[in-house]
Amino acid sequence: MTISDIDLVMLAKVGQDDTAFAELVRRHQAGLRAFLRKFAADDAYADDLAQETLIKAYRGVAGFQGGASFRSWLYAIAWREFLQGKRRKKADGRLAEALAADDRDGSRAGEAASGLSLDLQRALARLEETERAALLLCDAAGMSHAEAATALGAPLGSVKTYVARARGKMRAMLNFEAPPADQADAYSIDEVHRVR
Amino acid sequence: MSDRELQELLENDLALSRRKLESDGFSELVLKKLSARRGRRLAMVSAAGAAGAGFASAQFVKMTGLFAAAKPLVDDALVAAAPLGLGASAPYQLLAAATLAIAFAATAFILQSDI
Repeated sequence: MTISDIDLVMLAKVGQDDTAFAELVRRHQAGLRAFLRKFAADDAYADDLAQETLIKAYRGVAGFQGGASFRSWLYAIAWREFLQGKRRKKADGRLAEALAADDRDGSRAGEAASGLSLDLQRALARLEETERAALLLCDAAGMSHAEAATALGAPLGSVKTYVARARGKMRAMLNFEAPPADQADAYSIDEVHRVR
Repeated sequence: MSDRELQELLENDLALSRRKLESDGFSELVLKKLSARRGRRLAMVSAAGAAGAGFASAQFVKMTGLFAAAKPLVDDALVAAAPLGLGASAPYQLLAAATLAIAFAATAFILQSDI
């Protein structure tokens, strides 16, 4: 029988059980890093953010109230870390640079399972950060809208809007479709073709 | 492309990334760092606690003298504490010891909390 996250958190809180927290780290680190790698300029920086997130979670686990899932609480720390890191390092736009570099050296192309995966990364990179985060949390990581709202510190209605808008843009970029009329000003069809 | 297809694409992409990251030793690295941090903190707090305890012990006689100098107040406190059976033959030493005990308890409280 697998012990739930909440039970592990209780063990970590009450008994200051390092084994329980270690299990939480093992459970969530890969998903957390995969999520952060969609935002950070490079994988090493994403891993640094993930490490800092887990250390902060360890220090703050006693304050975890259980109102949300442990995962959304953890991702909320990660999202704050990312935003703070971005402010500190002015990293905005570095993902695009990194992807451009990938085009040159083909390093990520080798990692991608298929050409579509690379297109997917590029399309994701073109979304607004909050849209990308909401889409990844809800559609890729399987969080509910409420969980994603907790993780992003955003109102539930906004998260639903981000997800819907992001889906529309992604579909357009991956299908060569024109964007929905209400999002037409967000990007041009030329951009869509450049993505491909 | 439907929402469902897009969702599957994203799910598979993230799952692929996650699988690659599951057993690359990152967890062990983080746990090792957490353990090292805790060790450093324990060492620091222990050293500070030991230094504080040494200093406090050296002040014991002085502290007893201070309590003796505050005799009227201490006497009032002892009278108030008498019904609780807290009267003692050497009240000033007892009060000084109690003060040190509180300091030790505070140190122990900080020590038991994590990083």
